[in-house]
Amino acid sequence: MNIKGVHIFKFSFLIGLILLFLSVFVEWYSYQIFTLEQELIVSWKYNIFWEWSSIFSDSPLNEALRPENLSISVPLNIIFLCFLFLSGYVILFKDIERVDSIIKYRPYSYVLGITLILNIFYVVVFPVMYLFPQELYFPFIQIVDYEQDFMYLYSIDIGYVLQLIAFMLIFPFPIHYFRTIYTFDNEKNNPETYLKNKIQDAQEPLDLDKLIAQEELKFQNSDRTIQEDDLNEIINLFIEGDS
Amino acid sequence: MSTEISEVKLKALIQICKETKNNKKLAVVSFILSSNKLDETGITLGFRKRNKNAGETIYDYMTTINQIFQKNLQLSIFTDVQIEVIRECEPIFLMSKGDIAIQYIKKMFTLYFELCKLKVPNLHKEIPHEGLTGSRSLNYLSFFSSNNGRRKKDSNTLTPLLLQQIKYLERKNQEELKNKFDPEKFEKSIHLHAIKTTIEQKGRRGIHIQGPLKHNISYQMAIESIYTYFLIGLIFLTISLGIIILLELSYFPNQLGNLSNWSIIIFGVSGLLIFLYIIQFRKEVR
Repeated sequence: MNIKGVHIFKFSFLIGLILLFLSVFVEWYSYQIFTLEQELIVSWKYNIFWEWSSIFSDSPLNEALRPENLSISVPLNIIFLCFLFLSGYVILFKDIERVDSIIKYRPYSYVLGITLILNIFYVVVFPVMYLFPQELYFPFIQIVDYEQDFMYLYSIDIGYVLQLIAFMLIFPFPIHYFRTIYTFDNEKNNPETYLKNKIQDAQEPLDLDKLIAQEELKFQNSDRTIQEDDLNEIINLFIEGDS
Repeated sequence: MSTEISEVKLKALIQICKETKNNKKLAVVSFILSSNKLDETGITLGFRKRNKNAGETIYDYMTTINQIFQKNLQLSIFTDVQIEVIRECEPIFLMSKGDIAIQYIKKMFTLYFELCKLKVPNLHKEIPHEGLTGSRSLNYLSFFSSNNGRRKKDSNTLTPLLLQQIKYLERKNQEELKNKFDPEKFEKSIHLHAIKTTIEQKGRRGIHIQGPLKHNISYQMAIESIYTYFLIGLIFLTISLGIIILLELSYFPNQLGNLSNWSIIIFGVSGLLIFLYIIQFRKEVR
């Protein structure tokens, strides 16, 4: 696989981001009741922003059987949207393959990582923490109640399915990005650069050209006192240190 | 500035100072150059720089480095003669603020040129794994790899043998160095010690490279693992869904009939994916 292969996963990551963005605005869960004659009498759809909504706005039975609000944190949803945009920015403008110093790109790897974690959170936590306590089944369950002549249909909807598909599309790239940055850190921890800088910091400044020039001037009977002052300054600096 | 250019300039300065009889300048230059060289030597050996602000003298610095290396490698970096020169010249230089006799200046320059000849290995430099336990680039791929454990096991088997061999070579070198100082043997001795430490610590570090990643062969090899990440993602997803359904079963045991079908399908798919993952890695190992 060559470098172009990475671009496929980069592109799939972008598609995944778009799907995640769309998922926020469509229904995640569907709860419907049919009669045994297949007539839809109750229909509720759940979205993480505007909770339950129904096509039967004026049906008393529909209202009576409305599930309770799941109350997924709205700030969390907004944070999720922000990270989607940030990830889009990282993927489009922060290409680690073309830069000399990838160490500066570490924060971007965290952005991608958090987006992935939030996606996992929604995929795993949504059914466990929000659906099950409300007795809403997962992923698709059909229950027939012959006593009441009702057929209950519980199912995940397009929003949650988009989350699942997006997870498959986005998972490889953040891992690759993160691993690459942590494996190929080429600046801060480079021993050669570190050593060179350390040695440079420790060196006492010594301008041999200047000293030679001063001596040459002295040799030509120029002003001696200035040179003596310069030399005394160098000595003091050397003996007393930087303090 | 390259060493050759510095040397030419230094010779020019010595020449002109001889003409002007400015011994003080030569004394100062000789001390600064020696101090700089010692700092460079110390830092290259993994030691700190001389603490001038705390009043640490060059003599103190040299003896401390020697003590540390005596303790670790039973070796002295600086010879007794070199330390004696500093012990003799430094207090006079400090007291007279640079006004020292010409014989001390000569001694200091001799010391400086000896220090320049002292080739010390860079102890910050990472010891390449290629020569020890196989390819480092390939090790990079082992993050999620199933053969990671096996590779580790192989390396563990080799480690005592390697360590024994290194210790033997190190001791032999030290014996030879005690009789006669040889910069090459000294360098070898320090490298052996560094290799020994690296093996013992088994520290994990990044691959250090220069230039963009896309030109790096290790990176291009590492790209292969992105397919594996895709497979791992799918495995993670199916196992997560399976666990969610098992949790659901604990919530609603009366739905066993409906949910058992889902759990069979999902765990079946994850089993298949794990099988594909194993096949993929066998292929990679080959």
